[in-house]
Amino acid sequence: MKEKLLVIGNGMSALRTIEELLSHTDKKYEISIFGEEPHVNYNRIMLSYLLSREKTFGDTILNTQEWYDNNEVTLHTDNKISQINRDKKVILNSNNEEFAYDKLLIATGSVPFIPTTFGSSLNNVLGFRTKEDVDNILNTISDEKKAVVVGGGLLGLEAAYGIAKHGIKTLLIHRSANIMSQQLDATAGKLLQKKLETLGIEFRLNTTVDKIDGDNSVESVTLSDGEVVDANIVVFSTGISPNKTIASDCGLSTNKAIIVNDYLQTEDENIFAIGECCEHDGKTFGLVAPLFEQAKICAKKLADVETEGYVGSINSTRLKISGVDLFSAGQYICDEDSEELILLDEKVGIYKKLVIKGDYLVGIILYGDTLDASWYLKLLKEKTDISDLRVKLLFGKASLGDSGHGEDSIEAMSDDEEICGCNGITKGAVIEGIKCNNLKTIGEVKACTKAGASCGSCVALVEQVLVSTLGDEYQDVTPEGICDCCTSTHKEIKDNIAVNDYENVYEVFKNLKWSNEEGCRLCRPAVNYYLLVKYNDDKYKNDLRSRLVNDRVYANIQKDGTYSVVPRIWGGVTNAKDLRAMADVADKYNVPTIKFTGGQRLDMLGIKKEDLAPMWKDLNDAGFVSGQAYAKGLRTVKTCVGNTWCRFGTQDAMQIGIDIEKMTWGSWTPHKFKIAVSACPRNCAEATIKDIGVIGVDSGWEIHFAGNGGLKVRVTDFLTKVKTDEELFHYIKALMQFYREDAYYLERTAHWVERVGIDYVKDAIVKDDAKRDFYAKGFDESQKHAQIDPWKDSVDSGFTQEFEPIVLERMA
Amino acid sequence: MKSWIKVTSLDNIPTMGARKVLIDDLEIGIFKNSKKEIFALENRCPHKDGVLTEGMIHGNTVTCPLHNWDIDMETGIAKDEEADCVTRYEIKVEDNIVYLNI
Repeated sequence: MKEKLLVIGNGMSALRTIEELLSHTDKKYEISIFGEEPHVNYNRIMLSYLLSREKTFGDTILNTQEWYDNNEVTLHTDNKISQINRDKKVILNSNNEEFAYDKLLIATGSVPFIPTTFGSSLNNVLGFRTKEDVDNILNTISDEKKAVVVGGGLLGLEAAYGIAKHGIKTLLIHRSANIMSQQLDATAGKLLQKKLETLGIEFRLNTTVDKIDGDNSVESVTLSDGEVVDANIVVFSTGISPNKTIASDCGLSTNKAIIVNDYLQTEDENIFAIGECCEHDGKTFGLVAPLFEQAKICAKKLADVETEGYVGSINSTRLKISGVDLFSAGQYICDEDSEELILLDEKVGIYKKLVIKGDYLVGIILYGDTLDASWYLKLLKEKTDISDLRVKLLFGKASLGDSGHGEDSIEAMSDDEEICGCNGITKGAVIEGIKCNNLKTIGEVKACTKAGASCGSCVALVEQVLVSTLGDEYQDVTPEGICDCCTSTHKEIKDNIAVNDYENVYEVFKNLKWSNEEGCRLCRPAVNYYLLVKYNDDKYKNDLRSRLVNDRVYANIQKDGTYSVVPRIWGGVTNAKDLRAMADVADKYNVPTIKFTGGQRLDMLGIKKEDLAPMWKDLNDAGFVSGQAYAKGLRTVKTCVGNTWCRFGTQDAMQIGIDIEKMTWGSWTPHKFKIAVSACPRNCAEATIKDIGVIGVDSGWEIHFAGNGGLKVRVTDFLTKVKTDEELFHYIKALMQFYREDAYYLERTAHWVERVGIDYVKDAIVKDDAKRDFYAKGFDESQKHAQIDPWKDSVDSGFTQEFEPIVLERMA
Repeated sequence: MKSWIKVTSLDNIPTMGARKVLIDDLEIGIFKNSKKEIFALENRCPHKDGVLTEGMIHGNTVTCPLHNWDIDMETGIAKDEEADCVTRYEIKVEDNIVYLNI
C-alpha cells in the first residue's frame, strides 16, 4: 500500500521535488498536487518574456498534463487549500473538502508585497507574479497612458521591459539611487539604467509612490517628490512575502517564513516545506537555483535516500532582458577587508568587477560580457585560491593560456563547470545527456538534462556544448532531417541503407518519404556516399550527378569559373624529370599561376574547363595521375625527408609515406582525408594536425588520429605505437575503413571523434584485434575497384566531351 | 532582331547536367532536368558570378557551385534572394534539335 503524499502548491519548487522524488522511486507514494491557479506547472521565471510576447504561454509550460498522467500524479487545479489539520492528518480546501495525507509538502511560494499606500487597493494596481498578472497587465496597458512600475529590482526591471516592449511609455520608480541595488554596485546600475533607457524605460530614482488617485481604477500617481504622473496601471514589484499562514495557523513555527531543518522538514516530521515559503538558517530564498538545490534534498529525504542535508546556497543572478547580459553573485560591494578588480569600458558597455578577500574570490559583477560567469562562480563556490591567477583573472579564462589551440570558451570549460546556474547542471552532465540519449536538438537537451530549461539565459552555452559534442552533424542538419527534403537524420539514413537494398539515391528518397523526389545539394551527395561505401565501386555506380562540382569534374572550381589541376606527387617526393614534364604542360596551356600546396603538391591554377581533358591526357602520358585535391577522399600523404638525409630522422618517412599513399589513394571518405609521416618527434611533416599522423620513433611508429589544421585547430589524439611497417599499414587501413563506415557525410575525423569519443575508436581499432582485421579487410575490398585514375577514366569514357563549350555564331 | 539559332542535338545536353554555349561575347547555360526538359539562362549567378552550368540540378532548380544559391531555372529567380534574377532565354526543341532565340 502506497503512502499518500499531498503537495500544496503546483509551482516550480513543488514539481522539481516531485520529479526528483520520482527519479528515486515511483513505488513509495501516491501523489496529489493542489494548485490555486488553473494551469499545469509553468516557468514563472519566463513571465517577463510572456509579458514582452517574446514567448507564448505554451513555451513556458514545464510539465504538461500528459506528464502528470504518465507519472500517475493527480493534479487538482483551481483548488486552494486553506487549512491543515495535523491531528487528523488531513488538509481542507476552501469548499471544506478533506484530503488525508501521510506526508505533506508545503510549496506555497510567496505573494508580491504591495505596500499599503493611498489608492493601493484600486483596480489596475497589480503584482507581477503569475500568468494572471501578465494577462491583466497586457489587458490594461494602453498607448495613451503611461505605465508605472514600482521597484527597480530584478523582477521590476523585467516587468518594465516587458511593458515598454509594447511601445508603452513606462516609468520605473525606485526608492534608492541605483537600480538592482541588491545585486549591483552604482557603476553597473548606471550602465544598466542607460541601456534600459534606450529600450524606452524612464527612471525616477530616490523616490517612492505617495498616493494613487482614481475612481475605480488608476488615473494618476503622485510621487513623494511631488511629481504627478498620468497613468492607468501601477505594477508593484517591491518584494515578496512568503505564504506562511497555512503553516502558522496549524501551529508550525514560522518566522519570516516557515522554519525548516537541513532536510526541509518543519517541526512536524511528516510536513515538509520548500521554496520561497520556507526559511532555513534564518534565510529565505527567492531565486530558482537554491530552490532546486532544496528540492533535491527534500526528495531524497522523502524517498529515504541518504542525504547530507541542505547547507544554504550562494545566490547568483542573471537578468532576463533580451540584449542585456548581466550576472552577479556573492558579495558585490567592497568592504574594509576586501579589494576589488575592475574593468570598465563605458562606450562598449562592458563592466567587470571581482571582489577579492585574501586569496579568494567573494563577489562577481559582470555587465555586457558574461561569458566567464560560470567559471568565476565556480572559483567562488569552491573557494579556489586565486593568488596565482590574480594578474589575469579579470580578463577571463581564455587569458590563462592554452588559447593557441583555437579553443573557444566552451571547450575551455572543464566538465565540472556549471552551464545552467538555475538547475545546477554542469557541462559534463550536458555532454553525458547528449551522448547517452542521442540528443540532437536544444529542445531535447532541455527536456532531458534540464539545462537551459528555467530562465533560458544559458541556452546559447547549451547550444555550444551541443555543437561541440555533435560536430558537423549539428551544424549541417536542421533539428529535423539532414536538409529540408526529409525528416531523417544521418543516422536514420545510414541505418536504413544498412538493411535495405538500393540501386540509386532516388530509391532511398522514395522509401524514406523525401518531400522532394530529387533531393538537394545537401542530401544527394550524402546518400550517394552512403550507398558507395556500402556497395563499393564495383556494385554501385558512383552517381556523377549526385556529386558537387569538384567531385564531379575532378578539379577544384575557382571563383572565376576556371579550375585548378593538381597531379599526384607520391609522398610529396618528386624529381627533375617530373618537374620538367609539369613545366612543359604548364607552358603548353599558359598556366597563369603555379603554387606549392600545404600538402606538398604543385597546384596549377586558372585552367579553362575545356583545357582540363587535354591537360590531363598530357599529364597521364607523362606518368601522372590525378592528385584528387578536390576529393572527399584521400588527398595527400605529406612527409619529411626522414633518415634518408636528416641527422635526426629515425625512420624512412619518405618511402613509408609513398607506400601509404599508394595503398590509400582513390579511397572515398566522408570528408577530405589527409595523412602525414614524420620520421622523428620533431614532426617536420606536421603530422599532429592531420587525419592520420604517423611519427617515427627508434622502436617503430606512433599512430595519431583525428587532427585538423583548418578553421579550428585540433591536435591529434595519440592512438597507439607499432613496431613494424606492416602493422602500421594494417592500422591505417582499419582506421580509414572504420571512419568511412561510421562517420556521417561531411564529418571530418576531428568532428567524428569529438562526437563519438576517442575511446570509441580505440575500443574498435586498438583493443579489438578481430575488429581491426575486419575493417582492414573491408578497406582492401573497397580499394580493389577504387584505384582508377579519374582523369584517364573520364577522358576514355567520353565524359569530358561535355566540358567543351558549344560555340555558335549569330546569324548574319 | 531576334532569331532562332540551332544549337546542338538534345542528346548532347546531359540529363541532370548542362552545357555552356558561347555566342560572340554572350555566355548562356543550357540545362536539362531529369524529365528531359530544357532551360536556358545567362550563365552567371547574380550573387558572385558563379558559373551555373557547373551546379547541381534537382527538380527545376540549379544550385550555384560557388556559394550554393538555388536558382529556379523556369523563372530565373534566386530562391532565397528574390530580388535577384538571372536572365532567361527562349529555347525550344524540334526534331531532337535545340534552338535558342537570341
